[in-house]
Amino acid sequence: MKRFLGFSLALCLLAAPAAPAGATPYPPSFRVQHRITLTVLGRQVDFTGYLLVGPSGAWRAMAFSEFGVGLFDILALPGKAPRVLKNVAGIPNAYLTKWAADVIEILFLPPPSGEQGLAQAQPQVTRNGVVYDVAYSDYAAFPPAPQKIPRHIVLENKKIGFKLEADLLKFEPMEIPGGYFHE
Amino acid sequence: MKKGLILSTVFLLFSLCGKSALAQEEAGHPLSPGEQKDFLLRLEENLSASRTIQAKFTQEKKLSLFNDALVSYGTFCFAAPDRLRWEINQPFHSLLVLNGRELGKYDFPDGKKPRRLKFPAADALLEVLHQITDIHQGNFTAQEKYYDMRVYEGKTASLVLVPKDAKMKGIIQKIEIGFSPALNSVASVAIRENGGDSTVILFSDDRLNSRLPDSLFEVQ
Repeated sequence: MKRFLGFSLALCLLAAPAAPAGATPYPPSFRVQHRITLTVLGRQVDFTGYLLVGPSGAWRAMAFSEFGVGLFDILALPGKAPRVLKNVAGIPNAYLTKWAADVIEILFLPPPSGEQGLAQAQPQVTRNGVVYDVAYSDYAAFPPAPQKIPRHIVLENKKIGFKLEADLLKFEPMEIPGGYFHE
Repeated sequence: MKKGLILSTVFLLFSLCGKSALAQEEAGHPLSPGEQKDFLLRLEENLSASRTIQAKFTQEKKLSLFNDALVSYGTFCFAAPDRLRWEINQPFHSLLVLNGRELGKYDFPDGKKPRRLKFPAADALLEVLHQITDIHQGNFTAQEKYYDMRVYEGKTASLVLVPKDAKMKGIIQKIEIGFSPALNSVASVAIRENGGDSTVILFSDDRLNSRLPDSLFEVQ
């Protein structure tokens, strides 16, 4: 049970919802809030995901319980492995820096060079050997972002019983100060 | 289990109270140990007289580093001795229901029908929710093993809880519970985290001892 909780919460990091990569709808710099429900092997956890993405590709992802408590905080800088800045939920850090980071990058950042990104309405993407089906829907305009942003995202791997559902709460295309990406 | 309990306690303490002072700085001077004992006895008497509570709440999570906030709105219901309903309506819809030893957590994936979540940490959450119901009834004695308590009194009164557990102390600096002027309900709950973040829950439109339908607390 405890292990599952840790796993689930780790996955929660993924919480920050997504957007296509190959032709990602997201601007280079933004912050976004999502309500996330993660299903892992038939069990669910929900939380609010908070994601900051900077133009350099740096990102920072946090998760909060419905009572506002911060569950975890992950920082990723270009060319460096993601780091866990805070983890009070007892989630193994490796879940956050691998699974969660993969999902965040799949959904919100352009794909690494040589890797195929998300370019269709119902794309599929493989990251670290895991295949995910991703579906975006309910797009809306958020000026000055040039493209519409999906308000609902589902990322799923039926084989491993994993599903992430993300509903957009707030999206702000904006310059993210560099200081936000410091520990 | 202990880790989960601590975390859940932190989460759930937020939902405890009801209506006036926000921080002890606004609430005035600290009471002496003798005054505090008398105050808590009076508070217990008043709070336990409220067999039901229904209120709206606004919850604001302030992220100090990012100059940003996560704000949510909802309703809160309590029926003594052990029924609790915490429903967030905006900007998303979620529901938490405690009915005795039963606990239900729901989301609303299609915007209408509730989906009961198979929540993995139900036992720890259940334990903590019962702590909350204790506090709603003014049973502060039960919290003394978890917190150092200090009462401040001024225009309004507040109870400040400082965690005793080192691990919890590393997360939460203190929890401030503000009370209504009549000391019969909780007006606010402020959670001050280490690092400067905070969560403030303000209760409004509270109704005490109104009849609450059993259906509010059904766990299906």
